[in-house]
Formats: sequence, C-alpha cells, structure tokens
Amino acid sequence: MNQAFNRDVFITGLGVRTAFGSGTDPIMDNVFTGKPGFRTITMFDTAGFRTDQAAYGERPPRQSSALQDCAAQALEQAGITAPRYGATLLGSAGDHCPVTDFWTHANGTAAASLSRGEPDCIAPLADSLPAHQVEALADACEIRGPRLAFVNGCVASSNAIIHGCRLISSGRVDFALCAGGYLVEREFFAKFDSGRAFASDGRMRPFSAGRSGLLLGDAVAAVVLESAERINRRGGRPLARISGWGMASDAYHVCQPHPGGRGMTAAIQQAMKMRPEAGIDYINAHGTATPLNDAAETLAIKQAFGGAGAGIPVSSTKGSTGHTLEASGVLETVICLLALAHQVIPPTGGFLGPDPDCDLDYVTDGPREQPLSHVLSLNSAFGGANTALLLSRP
Amino acid sequence: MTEVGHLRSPLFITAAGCVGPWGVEIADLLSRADSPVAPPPELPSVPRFVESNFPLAVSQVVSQVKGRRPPAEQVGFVLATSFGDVTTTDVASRRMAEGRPHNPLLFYQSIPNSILGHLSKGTNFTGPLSCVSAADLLLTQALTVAELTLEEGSADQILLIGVDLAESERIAAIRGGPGTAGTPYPVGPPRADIAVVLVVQRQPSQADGCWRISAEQAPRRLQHPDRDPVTGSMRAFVEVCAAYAGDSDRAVVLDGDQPDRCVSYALHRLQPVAAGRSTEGVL
Repeated sequence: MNQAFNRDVFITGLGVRTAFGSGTDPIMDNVFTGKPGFRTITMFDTAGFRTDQAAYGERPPRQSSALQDCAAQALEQAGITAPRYGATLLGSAGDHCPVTDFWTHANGTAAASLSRGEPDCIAPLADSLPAHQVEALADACEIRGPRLAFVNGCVASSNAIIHGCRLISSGRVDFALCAGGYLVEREFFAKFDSGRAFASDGRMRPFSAGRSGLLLGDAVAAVVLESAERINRRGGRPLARISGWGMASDAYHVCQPHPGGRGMTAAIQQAMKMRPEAGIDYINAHGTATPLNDAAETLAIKQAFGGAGAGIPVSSTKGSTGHTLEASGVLETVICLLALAHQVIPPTGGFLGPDPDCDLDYVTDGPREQPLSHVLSLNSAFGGANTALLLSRP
Repeated sequence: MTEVGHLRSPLFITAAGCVGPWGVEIADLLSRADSPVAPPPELPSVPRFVESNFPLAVSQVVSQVKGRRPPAEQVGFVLATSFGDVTTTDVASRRMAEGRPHNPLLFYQSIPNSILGHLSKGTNFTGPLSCVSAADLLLTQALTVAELTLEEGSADQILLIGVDLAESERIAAIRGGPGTAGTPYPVGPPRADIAVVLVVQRQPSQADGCWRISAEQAPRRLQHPDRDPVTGSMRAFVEVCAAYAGDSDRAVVLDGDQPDRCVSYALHRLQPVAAGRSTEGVL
C-alpha cells in the first residue's frame, strides 16, 4: 500500500432498512436465520412478467426520506453532530418512481394501468437524479464537503465505501457518510424481466443446484466511516475496521462476468494485500443466484485463496434480502458488521443442494456460530466491475 | 483544502479526445467552437447499444485515444456525468407507460458500466471501473477519484470520461422545478450531446502531447466562471480538452458553479524530451 494511505479507517455508525423492517433486529431475526423476504408484489401489476415475487417491506414515503432516516441513525450512533465537515457518498441509480409517474402522465395514460391502488408518486422528479439525491442527503444531514454519487450499478455503494476509505486513509477528510438505496419499483423490475434475469421459481437460490436467477429486494442503508484520529479525539467506539479494499474489472463482456472470475480474483487480492496477515473467517459473496455469476465467483475465491479457499465459509444473504442493486454494497457491509459483532455467519437462503460448479464451504443449513475476526464482502456489476471489502473486528 | 478538496499533486494528461456540437474529432473543437449551430453529433453505432447517444459518445472518445495513449499495465475508467444516460432511462420508461414491451438491450444499457465493459473487452483494461455523478464540481470530484485510484496503485493510467446528453423533456421539467433547498438545479446539461476523455497518469509521458494539470494553491474564488449554455455541465471538461488541443502552452480552467467554492486548475504543456532525459525542469 502506498505510504500516502496511512490512516486507519473504522466504521462507527450504521442505519439500515430492508424488506424485514427498519434497524438491525429484523436482519438478525430473518437474514441470520435464512428466512426469505420474498412475497407477491401488490404495488404494481406483474402480469406478463417472469415472476411476481420481490423482497419488499412497508414502503417509506420516498427513497430519499429513507436515505435521510438511515443516515441520521448512522450519524447519531457515531456521535457526529452538526455542523459537520466530511464526505457524503451515495450509491444509487436515482428514484425511478417519479420517472414512471412523469411519463405516465405525459402520455395521458391512466395511472391505474401501472399501479394497483398505489397513490401517485410523491417524490419530486429531481430525485430521479443521483447527483441531486446526494446533494439533498448532505443538506439534510448538514454535512459540508465532497458530495458524490456512484452510479456503477451493483457495486455503486461498495465503490462509495471504497472512495470514503481512500479519502480518509489519505487524510483528505476525517469522516465519510456512505449510503446506498434501492426500493423495488416497476422500472427496474421490467428491465430485469426483459433481460430474463429473474428466478423462474419465485425463489433466489445462490450457489444452489437448480438456481435460475435473481429477485429484487428493498434496501436503504448508511454507514459512517471515521479516521482513528477522529475517533480517539472524541472518544468514539468503532464497530469494525475496514482493513482492506480492492476494485478490478473483468475486461470481458457488457454484462456477463468473466467465466474464470478474473476481475473478482484481482479485487480480492488487492484487498488482502493491504492486510496480508488476515485470515479470512467468512465471505459474504455477491451470490446473485445466476448460473454464470455463482460459478465465476466460486472460481475467483478459489484462485484468490488457493487451497485455503475451500475451507472458508461462504454465504450469499441475497437469498433472504433479494438483490438490492445499488444498495448491495452498504447493506452487505452492515450484515458483515453484524456477523462480526455477534460472531455468527448468516446462511444462504433458498439452498436446495450442491451444484458441481459451486464447491466451496457454503453456509446453508442455518446460522453458523464461530469466532470471526476478518470477513470479506464481495460485489460485482455489469461491465465486469468488481469490489472487495475486508472488514475486521476493531 | 477547499471545501471539496482538490488535486494534492499534479497529474499528467497524456492524450485527450472529445465529441460535441462542433463534431466528432478533437480538432473540430477548435475549428468550429464558435459555431452557433449545435446539432446532435452523428456518432458511429456500437453493436448492441441502441436509442441513446450516451454509450456511442463514450465509445467515440475512447476510440480517439486508442493508439495515442502511452502504454500502461493497469488501466482503469472513471466516468463522470451530471445527468446520466437520460435517453435510455426515458425511452425505457416511455415504452412502459405506452404499454409496449421492454427492449432487453436497455436492461444492461441503463447502467453506464456496460459500455465501459464493452470497450474494455479485448483491451485488457482490468483496472477499477468507477462511474460517478455530481451536480457541481464534476471535474474536480472525478479528478479526485482518478488521483486516489492512481495514488493507491490499483491503476497506473485512468481514462477519465465526462459525458452528458442534451437537455431532455424530463431534465427541463426538473430544472424548472424546485431543486436542492428550493433553488434551481445549478448547472444545466449541454445544448448538444458532449463527451470528453482525458488520459491521466501520475508520471509524465516523454512523448509529444503531455500536459501537467495541477490545482492552484490559491483558488481564484472571485472569478465566477461564466455558465456556458453550449457546454453546460461539461464546461470544465471541454475547456481542459480545448487547452490540450490548442496552440498555447498554458491555460487556467475553473471548475464549479458556486463563486465561493470553485477550484482553479493550471495546465502546462510539457516539451517532449530526448529519450533518457528527465522531463523535470522542462515544465
């Protein structure tokens, strides 16, 4: 690691909302027991789609209000009071509900054709722009400093966390609020359906025999990153240390992963190079339950860790939460924090049986209690983008 | 440090390219920059990308630096946009509103990574791939992402791409409505689709066409940059590109729309030196 990156980075606060509800207790009760959050969609008409299932919960009034709630919880837990100088970094594709609303009304189409009993979207059209969302989030949290949205799909919020780590580790800022959000809506649901990405049997089964694709899920989450110096100065308590991070690309395809897991292998190796002495106790995999992703990710883990890879427990919590797209990185960072705090590995929901292309130690039968010191969170996105985050007990 | 931060150490621009209302080559930028006509540029098609100029513009600028950038082991992308691929978003949404089936090509095209994945295929660009969006100081924030990626060592060359499409009906509605804290959305999109690529690295190239870009220690806070309706959110990117392509050896480019927090960048052309000689002292 370059000498310019010499400050330790810790997580000191979190806020989260999933299909199971607001806060960490619903995650412990459901994700850590492997319970799936999928149910029949009632907020829009799913006729003609490959599935009618998604992991969604009680709807917040707007994605931006959920982001602000989670950010406020994270900042309060971290004990960071306004006015604040730090970075505000957001992984989001924007709120697409007002886009649907805009074009529906522009066409004079009856809103009822797109929704069943759902009131018209109350989010302002500006919320469809991630750059506006991050400005609004920073304003609401009274944070001055860099404001940047990451729009690189399913690695967006893990990229936001990595950028926050770089800003803090290099001494540019003392803290960063890193958030991500996606709430199931019709626009992306229809796009994923047209791409034939959805599981045909209404369940997401990462790394399992018979897996047929993904399902979407709600998540909004935020974490506060801080430098060790700032934590010591204010007498704060870290939840976890971010010991390493890596980003690399497949250079292979528009939307398919490299079959040998090339980019993911490199991302893992970069993260591990920052803390080479760390033995990995658990990997929270990207695990989207598509035949291509899970096989490629399995190969990447084996290549990055060699023979030791077969002995590392792996799970994909997307089997419970669904694929939360731009929110995946920050949601799964929160899940890894909970794993470290409670010393328990969450299982992979929906697992039916072993697949010959997926031959690692997947945690499938239920939560596995064991000592955890270092855990790895992996994510991938279209275009062959890959991220790895190494989290350690503080 | 300014409120938003800026480059701590100089970076070197070793190649550049652009498309815009002036044309589809960097040379057109200078020869037709004053043209009042701003038609959408005619861009070569890219297999499996449809409807939107966003991926086509990105592809076109990357093709301009192919063969002109110095070789590098690990190449990454930073794509910066204020408004994103509004055409792809709106075409897909309109189809849905009209009850027409979704076009599966728009599924992956809706994420800007996809065109970068297409372009990296076969080029072995295996460095990090970041796509970012900001309402203000887009160049500054994108340069910071590139600087940190290079400084960290996960890439030794970055293709820094700025891209925004011309104003759409939806963006016009947003800009006409309340934005952040009740103020209008600060900077508008360009009048016609614009993309710029800057090939940046930490080490200077000894070949012709290498510029140093550095943040000035005393930012010119009082110089509020004029808003340019032609280049809009791409103004600073285009000005860096114009400096690179121009005859002068020095330039100053201001980034930012707020007078109290704009960042000024000094650009210096390096003179090519004979092989084996350092470029130090030539600046």
